[in-house]
Amino acid sequence: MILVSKLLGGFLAIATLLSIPLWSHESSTTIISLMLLVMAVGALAAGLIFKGRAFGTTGVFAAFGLGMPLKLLALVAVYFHAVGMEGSVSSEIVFAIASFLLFHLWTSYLFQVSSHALKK
Amino acid sequence: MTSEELLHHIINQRFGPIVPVGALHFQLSQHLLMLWIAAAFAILFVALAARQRRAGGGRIAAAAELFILAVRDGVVMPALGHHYGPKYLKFFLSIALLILFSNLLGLIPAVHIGHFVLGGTATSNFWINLGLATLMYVFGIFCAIREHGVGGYVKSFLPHGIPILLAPLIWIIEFAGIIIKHGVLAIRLTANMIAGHLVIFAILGMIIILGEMMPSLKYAIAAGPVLLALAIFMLELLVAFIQTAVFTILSAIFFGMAVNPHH
Repeated sequence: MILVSKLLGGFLAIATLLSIPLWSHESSTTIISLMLLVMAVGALAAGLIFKGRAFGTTGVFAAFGLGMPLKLLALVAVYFHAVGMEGSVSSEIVFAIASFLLFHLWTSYLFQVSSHALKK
Repeated sequence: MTSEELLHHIINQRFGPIVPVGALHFQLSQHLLMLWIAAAFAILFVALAARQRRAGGGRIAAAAELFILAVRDGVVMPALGHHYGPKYLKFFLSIALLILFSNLLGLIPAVHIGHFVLGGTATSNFWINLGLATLMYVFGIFCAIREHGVGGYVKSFLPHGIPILLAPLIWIIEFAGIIIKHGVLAIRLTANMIAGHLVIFAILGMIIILGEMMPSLKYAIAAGPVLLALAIFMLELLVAFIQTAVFTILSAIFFGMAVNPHH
């Protein structure tokens, strides 16, 4: 497992280095590269620090665990890069939240006065 | 024309000026308008129920009571328990009611006013659903921290007896998992609301294709797809209720995991 951690770390490190020239052009690529970098460092560190077999497995999982939140960010960034942050997209998220909060303020009172169940 | 009617329900028409506020750009859209119309109908429904209840009861009051009991006994109490359930019941009633009315309004054919199309399924819009799912997520974190403090909330992600070395990894995975689960809530609702319309669109499209192949039999051919489309429409009606239940049940479970992790 330690060998797997090191191989994975090495592969990810090379992938990260190869993607560096693209960083300035694509924000999504930058985030993906950062993700790879974190995973690479995690896998290498885990493989080097922990000598036991169980800890080697932990290292691989730790690398993916650290990379996961950044992977999520990368997916979002790729999506926004692909579709563009058009006007209605941001307003729909914000308006949906604001509309629901206003709606809830109103209905929570109305539910209270309209139901026997909520009186109990 | 029928196909246009169906597609207008899931294609979002944007109108009005784009108002930039910092990095965000605000603009009205058909789906936002439908969300507000659904909210207005939902408020009217509960207001009428309240009025009927004051007058001694009625059909709308009975329907509202049925809805409240279904959400309370079928969703909120099992997910949150009897201590936290009553406290947050009205929040889940509101989200369920808004989604249900949006889903049902989406089944009504759109009205064309010049170039403007009034109609559509607000819950077929991923961004609106993501907004609602984000709200559920943030509200869950807020309430969990209010109930247990920051430390209690952070610890709630970790199972008992976990090795200290594994704790940061498990915490990150669990935390990311909650974000993913809420994102999937939005995707699931969007996909289900779009799917029904697309199936009806495809079935009714068969009339045009088969009619061109056999022009003399085009009226006889139409009967089959129309009956099939009607059956799918009835299924969509069922899906409108089922998806409301699914969104509410899952968001209540995720909320319960944050607020009442030991339940």
